[in-house]
Amino acid sequence: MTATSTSVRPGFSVGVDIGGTHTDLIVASPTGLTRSKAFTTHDDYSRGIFDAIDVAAESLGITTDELVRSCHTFINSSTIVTNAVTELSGAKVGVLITRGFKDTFRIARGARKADYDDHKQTTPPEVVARDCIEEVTERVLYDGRAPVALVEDEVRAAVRRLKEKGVEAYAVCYLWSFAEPSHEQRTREMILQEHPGAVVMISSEVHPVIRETERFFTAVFNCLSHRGATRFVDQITGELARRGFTGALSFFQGIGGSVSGDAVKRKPMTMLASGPAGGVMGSAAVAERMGLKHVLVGDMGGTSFDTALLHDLKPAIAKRVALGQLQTGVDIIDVVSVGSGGGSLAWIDSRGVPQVGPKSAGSTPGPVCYGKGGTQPTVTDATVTLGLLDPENYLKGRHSLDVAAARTAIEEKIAAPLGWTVEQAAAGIYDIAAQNMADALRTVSIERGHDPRPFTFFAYGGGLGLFAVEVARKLGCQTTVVPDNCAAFSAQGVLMADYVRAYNRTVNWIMVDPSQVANVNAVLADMRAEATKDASNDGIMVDDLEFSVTGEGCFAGQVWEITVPLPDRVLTAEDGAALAADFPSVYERAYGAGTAWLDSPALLVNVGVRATYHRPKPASREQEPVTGAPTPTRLSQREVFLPSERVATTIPVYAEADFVPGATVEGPCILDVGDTTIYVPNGSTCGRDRFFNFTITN
Amino acid sequence: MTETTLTRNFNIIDVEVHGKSIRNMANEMAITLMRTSGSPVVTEALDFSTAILDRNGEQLAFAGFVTFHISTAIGGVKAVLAKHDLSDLRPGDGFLCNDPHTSGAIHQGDLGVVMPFFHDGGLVGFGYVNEHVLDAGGSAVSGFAPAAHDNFAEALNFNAVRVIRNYKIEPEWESFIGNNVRLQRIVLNDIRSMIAANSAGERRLATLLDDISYDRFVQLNEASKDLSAKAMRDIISKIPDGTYSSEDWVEYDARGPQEFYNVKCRLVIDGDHMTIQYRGDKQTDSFVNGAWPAMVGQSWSTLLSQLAYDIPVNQGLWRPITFDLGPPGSIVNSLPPAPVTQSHMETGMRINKVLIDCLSQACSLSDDAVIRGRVAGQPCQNLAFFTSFGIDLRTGYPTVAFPVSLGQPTGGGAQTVTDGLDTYAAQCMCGCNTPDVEMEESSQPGYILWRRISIDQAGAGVHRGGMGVSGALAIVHSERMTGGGYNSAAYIPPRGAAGGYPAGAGGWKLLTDTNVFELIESGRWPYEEDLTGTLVPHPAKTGDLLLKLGDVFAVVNGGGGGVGDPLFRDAALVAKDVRDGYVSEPVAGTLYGVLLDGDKQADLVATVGRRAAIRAERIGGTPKAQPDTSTGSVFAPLKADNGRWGCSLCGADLGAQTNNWRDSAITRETKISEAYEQFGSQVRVAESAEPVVMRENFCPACATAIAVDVTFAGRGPVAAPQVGVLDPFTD
Repeated sequence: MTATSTSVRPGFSVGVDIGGTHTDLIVASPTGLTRSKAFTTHDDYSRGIFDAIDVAAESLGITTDELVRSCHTFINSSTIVTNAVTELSGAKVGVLITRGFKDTFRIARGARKADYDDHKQTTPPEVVARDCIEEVTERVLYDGRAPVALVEDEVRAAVRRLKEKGVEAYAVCYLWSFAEPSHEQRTREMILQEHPGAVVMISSEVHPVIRETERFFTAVFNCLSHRGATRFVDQITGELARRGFTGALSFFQGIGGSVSGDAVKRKPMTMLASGPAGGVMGSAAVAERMGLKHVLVGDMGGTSFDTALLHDLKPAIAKRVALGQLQTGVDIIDVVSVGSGGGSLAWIDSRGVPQVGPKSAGSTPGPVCYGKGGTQPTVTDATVTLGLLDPENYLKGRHSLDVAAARTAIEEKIAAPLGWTVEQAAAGIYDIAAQNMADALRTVSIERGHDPRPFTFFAYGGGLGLFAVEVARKLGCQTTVVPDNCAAFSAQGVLMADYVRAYNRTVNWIMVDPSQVANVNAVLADMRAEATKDASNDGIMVDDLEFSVTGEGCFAGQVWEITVPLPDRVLTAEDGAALAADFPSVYERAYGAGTAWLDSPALLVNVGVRATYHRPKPASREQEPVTGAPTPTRLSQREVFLPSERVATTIPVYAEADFVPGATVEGPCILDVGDTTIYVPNGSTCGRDRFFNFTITN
Repeated sequence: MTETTLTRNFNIIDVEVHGKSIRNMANEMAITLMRTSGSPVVTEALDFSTAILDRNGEQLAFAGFVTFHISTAIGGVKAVLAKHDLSDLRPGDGFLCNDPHTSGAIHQGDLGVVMPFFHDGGLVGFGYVNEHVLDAGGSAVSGFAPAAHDNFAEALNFNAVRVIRNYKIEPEWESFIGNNVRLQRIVLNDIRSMIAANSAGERRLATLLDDISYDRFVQLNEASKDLSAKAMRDIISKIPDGTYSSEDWVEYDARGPQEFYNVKCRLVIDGDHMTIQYRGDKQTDSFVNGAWPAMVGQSWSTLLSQLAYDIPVNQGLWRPITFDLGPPGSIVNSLPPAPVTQSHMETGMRINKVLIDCLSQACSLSDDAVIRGRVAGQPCQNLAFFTSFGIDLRTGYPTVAFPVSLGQPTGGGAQTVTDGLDTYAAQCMCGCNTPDVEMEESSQPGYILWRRISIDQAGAGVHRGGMGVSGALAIVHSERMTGGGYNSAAYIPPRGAAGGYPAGAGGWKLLTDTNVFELIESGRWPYEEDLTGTLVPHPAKTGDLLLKLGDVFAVVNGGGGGVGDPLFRDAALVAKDVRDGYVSEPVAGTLYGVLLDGDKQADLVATVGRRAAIRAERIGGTPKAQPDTSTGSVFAPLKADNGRWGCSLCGADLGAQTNNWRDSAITRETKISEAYEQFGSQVRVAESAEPVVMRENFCPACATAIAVDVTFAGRGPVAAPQVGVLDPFTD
């Protein structure tokens, strides 16, 4: 990735992250960042957005209309698509499928979960009502031949029946359609004749890749989420236009980067998991500014802890993600989530060992200390019991916390049954929560072939500052960063991220075979042309695009690929020979000596093109660090039961406001940053860099 | 057997954190295997496992998917330790273990690779990786040898042989193995992938041991085992003391006569200890015999699914359980030269069924609500499939056909909280996939003609069993393929529990001289209604399967057994199953007593009448009592109170606990063939002197089905639980 400049452009840019409860907003102006928050309004999302804009405008001392009119960039991320597919709420979907295979959605590639408990082995959810699945006579074979023509009368009759049943969106799901899409294309034409204006997704277009379960579910989920996504795009586009917005409006993707509203309507599933992706890409931008290369990202919310990995500042991608038991072909940034959030419940398992999550008290009733009716102790209750949180000044004093209630719950549910003190029990909950987070970080690093030790741990989200250093220590990471604005990081992230379009195709190139090189080059050129066209539709000039190519290969006969570094130029036969010769050592670096399949040829399975437009980045506050800067104000002293040392001691609490770049504080201590709190354990030093990020040596 | 290290002062959190890190290592080994393997059996069907053991061969962690490998990991390392001096082990050594009688394997097709793990030059533990390889040589194509008379004729039998040194397959062994298996390249590469997975585990363990001392490692491991042992004891202590019995029969008909081998199970609960005993007929000269690894491994498949599902797997789990296979030389405790390539799927899968049956009887009498909820129907456990070998016309290379997606997706047993899972596969295959049609057509020499859920094959119940798949494969890329056809439970179907009904058994058929090519050439697809050909008569199992170009192998898979009397099933759910095409309308009326209106919704009034009529029919007169689901449980209709048996739903007395409650019930016996004709379910008809029968045992007062047994006619009543009585086999 090339370095991006921090260009200061007149006017404003706005980033919005629409969550299930709150809409977070960041306004970047030439002088810095302003953040605001409002409740999400599910009937019309633009209302919640404008509520947040009102708040931001007020802090900036201008009117909302002034803000909107002088805004040149407006980027959204939202949970709309994620919610539609997890709750299976959305358009009524009808399916046309190859005759003989109507139970593909029920079979769902075998819904047996990797869970020993037979009570958890439940039938997959019915995404499409069974009476809305119509079989159609047609057949394509593995080599793209189509010996059985599409029976058009059947298609028409089926569509009429589905329309009668109130179907709004049609998924066309034929076997091997990616090898020969004409039957699906013709079916779409006929659906639109019979049902003008209907939404039609054909599997060969939404995911033209082998494995029908993923392809078909991708088509169905795009249908399901289409109505909500379209309404969302139209409401925001319409309301912004009405208020005089003339800038560029775009929407964040789960794979990072943003695209136009039209692109979202064509494939709503591109917005799946766009919220977490915003935080990850924001981390990439901040990390780049800090001169870092390898970053582990952690975000702690109320119900979960989400983590992702950036290697060379590029996010790892999870391919073909599953939504519960249902497989899709959608690729998103690889975010691993575990039930270790502030509201995650603590309990004792059958062996007498305390556990945390995955069940959560959520925001209602929430932790016991919120006093909203919660009775089961949570992670937040443990931190307040340990003294790490200030009960009188939680979230800048917007809530007070009931410490006594938290202690009682921990005493009754954890400490007494185990014969421990309340503090020991709270420290145990803290430890297990931190261990669960560390395990999630292991999943995205060690289990994906990355040694976490050279990585910097980037910690954001309300509660993570209390755990970050302990978690990073468990992985052997040297440095923890708690970024400036850490509580609204996802909204900031969408603003920091670039415009990205990514394309992948299967080429199956036996690397030593020179006869296939021309084809690979043609595929790469084709994808570049497609990227250029799509970007131009979104108003971006080809000269502003930066292209990169990716390759994935394996030994012929394997089904899982590893990354193959491809030279970014027209490939030659010599390149192929060199790639093939190098492949066994690339492979053995990943899997160990003696494991290469020396008698199988190296195969380049997929090639990809990624087109990036580096958006001008908003300015963030910056100040030259001063060596020996004064220690920030000591706000108070607080008695804390240190979770690792398991001793009670009095430690200082520092203010954030006069913690200037260059200053440092020594652990154990606490930093009160307003809407978040950072715990610096014994042996760690916390400093502040030129961009006001807290950097802690572990 | 006391838990020594666990004291109040011991830091339990440290133990848990350590235990998790060892389990993560085993997971990472599993992920490495998946990413490096080329075998669709691993990458698509997930038929493999990984484990880490300590220096003494005790299990520390188990990951992966095939639960019966829990025993093979221990058996494999034990074989290495027995055969090789510890001082003779070197880093990078690897031992092949695939012989059930000498090296702990389930069957010869499941190849285990044991590698010692070293740190700082010292032996610190063992890694174990096991996967189903696509071939292991001998007469067994892909590891199944229905025609073999002894284990020597089945496959290569590796008895903990050091084939790997310095993390590489020894060249001489590479040459020998390559020369003796049908798919040389794929099998050797899979062994390399197993080395990669073990290496990943060794590297991770070394990283851990850089941070903690070996003594500390051992201490934490022992404490982890103690925790698992304690949890297992706690569960057992919630099951009422007593003896619970079940029996079933292993089938073999590949050589003409239909043979049925009796298998018995006794589960003895004594406080916090459980003894599981199996006894069986003498071992035989066909591949159905059960050797120790399959018997104990399959027992664990059931124990994990039904009871120990949330306890970390390690050696501690074994402590409160005694496995007793009885005298050697029987079908449940075989000795060489007994053939054993189907050890896991024949006697092994019967073991699952009889143990599920015993546990369900025991759990239903527990005072503990969670334990009582673990009553379950039997999963189908009958994989109707084939493996065959031939030349692929397109490449000229040898190819093995093993269409997992047709034979594997059978129904799961019904649970008290849910219907059984569709396409559950065998109980031991936790997390397994049903490969996509496009993947099957990429790797198999044929076309999948259709693949759907089988109608009317699930066992009826308050919760019905899971459903299986029916489908067909036409051979189109090979002139001739030869191999075996399998159907482990064709004659004696899976049973339900607590008054739930048995399910369709499942089976396959072979059509030859078909019109497949003719249809395709004329632009039509060979669907069931247009497909013609000659049905080839065949036994349920055969070692002499011939598939010619254009032949069609078609399966209808069975379902799982139901739980609870189907007359209590929510009528709306039955109606939905009818609308969805999973239960036919006449069967809804016969088995569930549910009648539908013109819109195919449940007609509630008519249903009440129909159900009352069925109850009267069951006991030959109007019931004297009404079942009351508020006083008893439809999933535990039998209760034991003050030394008496009773119906939990109406309170009717069913005799003294010293007697079999069935003596007080009204029993109706029907030939299974006749019953299944009514149910629309599939079963093969045994030509035995006494037919296989279904015996429904009804409460004489309220006519609720308390238990539906499957046995042979003329056999005495199925045994009742002996509550409070410890009555083990004592031979």
